[in-house]
Amino acid sequence: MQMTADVHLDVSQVLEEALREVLNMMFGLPVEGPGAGGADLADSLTGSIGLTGPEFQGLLQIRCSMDAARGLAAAMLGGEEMLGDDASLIQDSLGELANMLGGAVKQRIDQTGVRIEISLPSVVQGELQAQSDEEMERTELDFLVDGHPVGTTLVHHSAR
Amino acid sequence: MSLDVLLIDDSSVMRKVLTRALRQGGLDIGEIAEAGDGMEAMEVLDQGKGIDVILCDWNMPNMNGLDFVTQARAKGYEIPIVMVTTESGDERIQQATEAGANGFIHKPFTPDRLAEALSEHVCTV
Repeated sequence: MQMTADVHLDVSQVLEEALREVLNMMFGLPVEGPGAGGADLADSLTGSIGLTGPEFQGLLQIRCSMDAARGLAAAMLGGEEMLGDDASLIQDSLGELANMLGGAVKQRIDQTGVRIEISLPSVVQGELQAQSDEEMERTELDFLVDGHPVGTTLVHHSAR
Repeated sequence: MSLDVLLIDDSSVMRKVLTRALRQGGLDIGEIAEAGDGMEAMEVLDQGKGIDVILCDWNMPNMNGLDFVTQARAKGYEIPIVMVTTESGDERIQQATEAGANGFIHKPFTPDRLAEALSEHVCTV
């Protein structure tokens, strides 16, 4: 792996700004926090997206309860009535949120001169633990979004 | 004059989000056609539907946004195309511009930003 540039990022700040940009600015949802990670999210959904480049590799996740995911999807699509009985819309909406969150993080990383690509998003039921080792930095931030706990995690490795 | 829009995005959720944002943005939006990739979008154009502006994702299966722009221009379609994507690097913007895209909106966006970009490109092309 070629490491040619320093990546100086305040990852917590990047993650918070990205989440606020997507959920508050784009969808008008009130966002409180962040607090420290580790919220217990029973019956949860996790949306993940990879961030990959020669100088930066990471995995970004957003997770929340099924109820919260339904609320987020309704806010994105314009109301509960838009969801109907289609449960896949809730998962797809969380995947799109992960995608936009990844885009917002990527934009900030791009500004440091580091090029990364983002993967297609994926969504799983339950909490998918992003693996990390001693060479990786793990940042977890929890928020209250429209009153619902929403957790974010960015596990990354960058050239230094 | 109301604007008839073609949305090209493989995510049905994103197409719904875009539709909502278009309706909220304050422009007079007419019909909104949808396509799940560049191939479907080309079929819509080839059917002769009256489209005033196209909003196009970048990463899609079958035919991605860049290939769609290239082919649409090669076929002589001059409809303004605004890329709506998470891609944000200067190289990507240059690629899209050279292929014939008229504008670039980064996801996430606001309804106002979307309306602003549409106004700019529909009026200037």
